[in-house]
Amino acid sequence: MSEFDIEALGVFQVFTGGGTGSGFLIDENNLLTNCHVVAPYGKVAVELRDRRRIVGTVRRLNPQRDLAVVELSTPLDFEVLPLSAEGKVRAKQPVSIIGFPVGLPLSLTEGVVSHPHQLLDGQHYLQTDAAINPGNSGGPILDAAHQIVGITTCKLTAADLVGFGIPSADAVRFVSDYREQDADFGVECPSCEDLVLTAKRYCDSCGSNLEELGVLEHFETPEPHPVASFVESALARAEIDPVLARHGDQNWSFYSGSAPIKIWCCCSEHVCFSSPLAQPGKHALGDLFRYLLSPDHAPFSFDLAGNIIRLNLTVHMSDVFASQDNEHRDWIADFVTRADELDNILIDNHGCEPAPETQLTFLKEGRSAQSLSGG
Amino acid sequence: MEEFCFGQGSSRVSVSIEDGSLHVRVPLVRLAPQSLTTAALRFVLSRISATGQLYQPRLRGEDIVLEFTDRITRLHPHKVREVLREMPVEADANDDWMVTEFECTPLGREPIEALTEDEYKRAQNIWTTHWLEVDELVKVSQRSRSMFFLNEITAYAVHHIQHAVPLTGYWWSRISAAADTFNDSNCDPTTREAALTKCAKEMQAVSTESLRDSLGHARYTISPHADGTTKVLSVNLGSGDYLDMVMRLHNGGRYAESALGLISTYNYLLARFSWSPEIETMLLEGLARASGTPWRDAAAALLEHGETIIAAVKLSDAEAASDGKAASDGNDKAESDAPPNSDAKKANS
Repeated sequence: MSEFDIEALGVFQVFTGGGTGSGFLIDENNLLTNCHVVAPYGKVAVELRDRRRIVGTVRRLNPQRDLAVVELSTPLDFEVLPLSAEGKVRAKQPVSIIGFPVGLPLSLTEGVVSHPHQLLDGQHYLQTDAAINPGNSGGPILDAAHQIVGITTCKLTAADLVGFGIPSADAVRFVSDYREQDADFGVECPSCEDLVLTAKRYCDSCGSNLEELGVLEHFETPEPHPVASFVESALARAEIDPVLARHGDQNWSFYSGSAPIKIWCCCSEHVCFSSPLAQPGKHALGDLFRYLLSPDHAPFSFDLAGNIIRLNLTVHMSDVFASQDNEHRDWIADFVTRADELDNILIDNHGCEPAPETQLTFLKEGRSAQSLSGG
Repeated sequence: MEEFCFGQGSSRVSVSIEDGSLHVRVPLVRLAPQSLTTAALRFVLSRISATGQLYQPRLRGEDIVLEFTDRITRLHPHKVREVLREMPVEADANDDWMVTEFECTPLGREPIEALTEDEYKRAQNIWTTHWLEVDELVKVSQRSRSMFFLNEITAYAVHHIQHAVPLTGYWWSRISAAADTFNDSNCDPTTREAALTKCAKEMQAVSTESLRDSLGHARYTISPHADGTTKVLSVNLGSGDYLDMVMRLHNGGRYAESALGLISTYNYLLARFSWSPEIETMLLEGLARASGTPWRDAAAALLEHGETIIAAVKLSDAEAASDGKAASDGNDKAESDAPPNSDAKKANS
């Protein structure tokens, strides 16, 4: 396979409250990914190379073939890889898988086609020995001519190097149908592939029981977990779109200006908020450490994780479930604002260096410069 | 402002209510002119400050204090228990270290009652024997190349000394620091074995006076240990993944591993949890049965003894449930209504 710049490719990481996956541009406004990457969410986040995220709206689902089309809130000027209409592949043909394995930055793995039409659970898949990991789902499988011959979907966990992709011909048909249809949202019937536009029990076209086939759940918004409700209502106070902050189950990550914010449940008792802000300079650190340990920062605190200064806040689960408690939500909103200010203070007043994750572009301008991520 | 204080080991916990908020403070140390101030503050930020804990260290003047503040209207029993239990344990684990390593001044310390001469001699004997044993067991681990064996020695090295010797000061902190490496299952085995060997040798070289300074009877108003429960006993001694592994090793003739695993588990239960006097006595009795016997006999004795403990707690739970039911029904025939627990009776006989 010839050299090419993967950073220029229109392949992006997709974030939801269920996890992360990959997706690729089919044109500047739409992304193709797996149904299991986006479902059951109607809105997802798509992260750009500069770590800003934009909102994507799920427009089409095909749960049977595990495909989804996501419409982007902002057009993206990246290389759109062609979907191979014929999808002709043969055993031993070299292929590359592009995506975001285990949350790592955009990566490429190589292998060969192990079987061009492997039958699995009544459907045909492109089988490959190229490494597939969680997070690769929805990414493209390319041939030597950089055409998409498959969409990564799953692997056998009980075996080594047995991964599967949805043949590109199926994706071409799915995308073509989407472009010809006007409906905002629809789910393809698993039996006849006709578009179902509303939650109904039986398919108008083939009479299949859509409830039994799991179609109806795609029309329902799942009840959020109380922890998610608490965190996301607090983020809304800080004018952070929760959709853009979700990073898997009860995990959130986003940038507040230049400062990365991470939120997670460390155990059954606590919700943790942390922001890696800066690295100490090399000399006269006593004054910096005194500043970091000052009681004035309460309810927030600092710690040193290795050589990274982090701003932290811990909320007890009893406060999460106290529905009338708005003070903690205010603390969280304040935490988001303070994190963006404090990295500048540490750098300007205390001789610190930016942390490796600091978004340098927004170091001075702060959150006001993040207009794209408000989409 | 009302304030009351109580002792937790070497730590003094101050609790006050002011402006509708509960304030809990545990003084750690004072930075002195001779202190290695920057190193001490870095240590506090790296090892005591952290995410996932409700209290945090703060610097007030030159005093480093663990603090927790929250509105009374928001106090939940779990939150208060967590704070009152963990803050002094954290202070207890670090104050002597900071005094010795960074030449800080002790602050707000509760007195620790010194051991009698007889108690000291006994503790010293356990200390010496323990670290010699650990040193030898590391060599066995290096020969056997068994990850299970390594995991069990590293746990035994900490838990046996924690429960058998009233260790409170600097040397406990030193063992804990070394345990960060030798108990880290993500580290490679060679690094862990090297860290444990180094620790065992360092502990064997501790002088009589220095060891005496680290020993004493600490008093706790609130138990610093988690509550021992039936579930904890079941997970560690009842049927499940861990016991299956021990049984497989035992049935495969790997008696050293099965015996050490069980001895280590008994020590873990004694070191980390608060038990009723009956259960504590049973755990100590199990260790006494295994003591001084060959690996094979020790493993067999503890496997049988573990079953006895599980049967006893199940019987006790069944009786408690039966009593509760009788009380709630207003029925005074609790004994005759109790369902027979044939398994428990069989095991007890």
